[in-house]
Amino acid sequence: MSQYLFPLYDTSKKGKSEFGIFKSTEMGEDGQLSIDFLIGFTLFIIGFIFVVTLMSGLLVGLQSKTIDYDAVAYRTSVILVEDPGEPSNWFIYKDYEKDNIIRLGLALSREYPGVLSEVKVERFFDSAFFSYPGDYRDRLIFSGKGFFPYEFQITLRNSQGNYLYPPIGSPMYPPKHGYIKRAVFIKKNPDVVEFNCWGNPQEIDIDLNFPELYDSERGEIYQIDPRQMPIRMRLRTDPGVELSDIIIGLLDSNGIFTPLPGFSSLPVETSGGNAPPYPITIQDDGSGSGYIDISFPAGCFYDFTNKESHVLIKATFNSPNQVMQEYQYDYNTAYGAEELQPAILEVRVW
Amino acid sequence: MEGLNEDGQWIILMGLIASMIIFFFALLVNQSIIVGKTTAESVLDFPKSDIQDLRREIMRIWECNPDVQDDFFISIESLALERKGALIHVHIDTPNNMFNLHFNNGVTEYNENYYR
Amino acid sequence: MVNNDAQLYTIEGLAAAILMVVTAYFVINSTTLLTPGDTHITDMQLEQLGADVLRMMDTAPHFDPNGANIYERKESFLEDELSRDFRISNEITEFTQNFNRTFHDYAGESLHVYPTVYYWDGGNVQRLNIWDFSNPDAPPFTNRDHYVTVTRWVYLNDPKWDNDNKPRSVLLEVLIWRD
Repeated sequence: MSQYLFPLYDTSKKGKSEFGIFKSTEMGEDGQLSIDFLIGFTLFIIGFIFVVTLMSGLLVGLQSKTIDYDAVAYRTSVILVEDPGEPSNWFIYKDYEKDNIIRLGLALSREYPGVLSEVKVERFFDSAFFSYPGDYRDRLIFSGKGFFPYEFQITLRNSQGNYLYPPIGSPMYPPKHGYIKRAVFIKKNPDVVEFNCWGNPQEIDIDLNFPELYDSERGEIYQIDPRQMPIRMRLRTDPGVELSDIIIGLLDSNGIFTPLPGFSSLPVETSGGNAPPYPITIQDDGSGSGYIDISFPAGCFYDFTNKESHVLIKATFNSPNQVMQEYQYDYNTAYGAEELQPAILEVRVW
Repeated sequence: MEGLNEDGQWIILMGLIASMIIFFFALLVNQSIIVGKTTAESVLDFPKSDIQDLRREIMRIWECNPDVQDDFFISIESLALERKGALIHVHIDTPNNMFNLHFNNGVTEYNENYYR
Repeated sequence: MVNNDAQLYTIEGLAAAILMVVTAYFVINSTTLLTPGDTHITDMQLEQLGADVLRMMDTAPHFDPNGANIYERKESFLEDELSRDFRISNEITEFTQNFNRTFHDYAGESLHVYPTVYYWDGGNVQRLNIWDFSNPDAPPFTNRDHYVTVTRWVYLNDPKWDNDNKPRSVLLEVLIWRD
């Protein structure tokens, strides 16, 4: 009995030490431990396992950079694809007004996420206007001074994989980077609209019919927006006519024409050379007719028109025929902006 | 204690500690499975596409059927509840030219009054 | 009888046992340690891409001024395709090919997809089979690959697969996975 309770005092075996850990003279082969050692060891192991389980949460705070980059790439892609930008007509701003742009977004409108406006896309990828990385960092990635200086690459391709514009950003990227791929539509600008103006008239009037163009049934993604998109047209004339002037003005509801300041003697390209200086003779361009190309850059009508305006383009000719031809620029004559082109936008951040 | 032979006890003790350290690492690796809630998870949780899709659907229905009544949307509400676990309620107010949308998927609640 | 002999053996045995258990644990657990954190990132990327593509498929690429009503003037690919009579197997075959091809075009890469349509028949949610299982390019089996689900509401003016001439909204559920 005493050997269980008082191993310390067990004297039955010779040379056995008090704790029985090691016997110098005889190796015991019973393979058993004393009770108090067993209990102590068990309690210690249980306590140790418990502490270790709690400790595993200590190392959760290890920062993994790849998680961060994917979040930044995703956020950047959402701003590009679903946000029209702030202000939403930021593409109008000139170089010296760049600081008024708060956020660069490419979407046509908040109501139609995933449809990008070609005007904004062209401006965004224009490296003459925005410089990498500073301009983009403040307005898109939002990692300006004091934040981690993310480097990035943004590409826009068509469905076949060809670049639509030169990529923004650094051409090389490390193997571990944040990445997101978005599928988008690009709303194209209107094509060049041709008007056939045969017969050498004295005056040609082209009415940009804003109320017709802002058709509410079509909705913003199928409209031609003359206040924000570039408008281009080509007048085909008989060869040899003499163009004396082109004036742009507003036509109000009473039919009164008010010329716009800054738009007289409009610069145009013709098959007889560039004007001004007026008058200019329209030569045959080889097809038996001449042409006059009139282009209005994106946003040039924005400040002084609204959706009810009629902008009239008056082209006057030195011609003996007292004839005036009128044309409408509306959905019967203009086309191209109704087409949505699929594209792929990729953002990489590291 | 008398007769205590302390030869080799350090070796044994270090061996024991080494095995316990290995065991600790095993536990750490095991616990790492539940570690890793990322921003990606929060993005997945937020039903951005669902809400955008729902709004566009309501506008499409309203544009094609100017006289649509609320009971048309019972199909959408039932499908959403059963397939997506989201509670939706749509009310079209034609005289005021607006619709009223409630969306709740348990994680996110979205209410909107949309004036056309 | 319990005594204090051979405690060294015991501890040695204990340490050996722990070592063996841990080694066995490592060996069995030595398959990839893909933490849930990692899968969330790829899931999120795939889900966003899938939602984008479905949205594109549900947007008409151009306005058709010759359509008879507003619905037809802005009719999208999905609105047109999901109105087929899926009771005819030829329609299912064509739909499968068209959907697969259009999805790949918009996504810019080849992903596996498996769409299903759910609709409300007045009292219950019903499922419509729209997929051709014999198409070799479009197997509907994920083979234990990780997949995401994206949905899209589609408004059908008068679907041919049901006999009442009423418009209805259906839920298109698409499983998307990579190889």
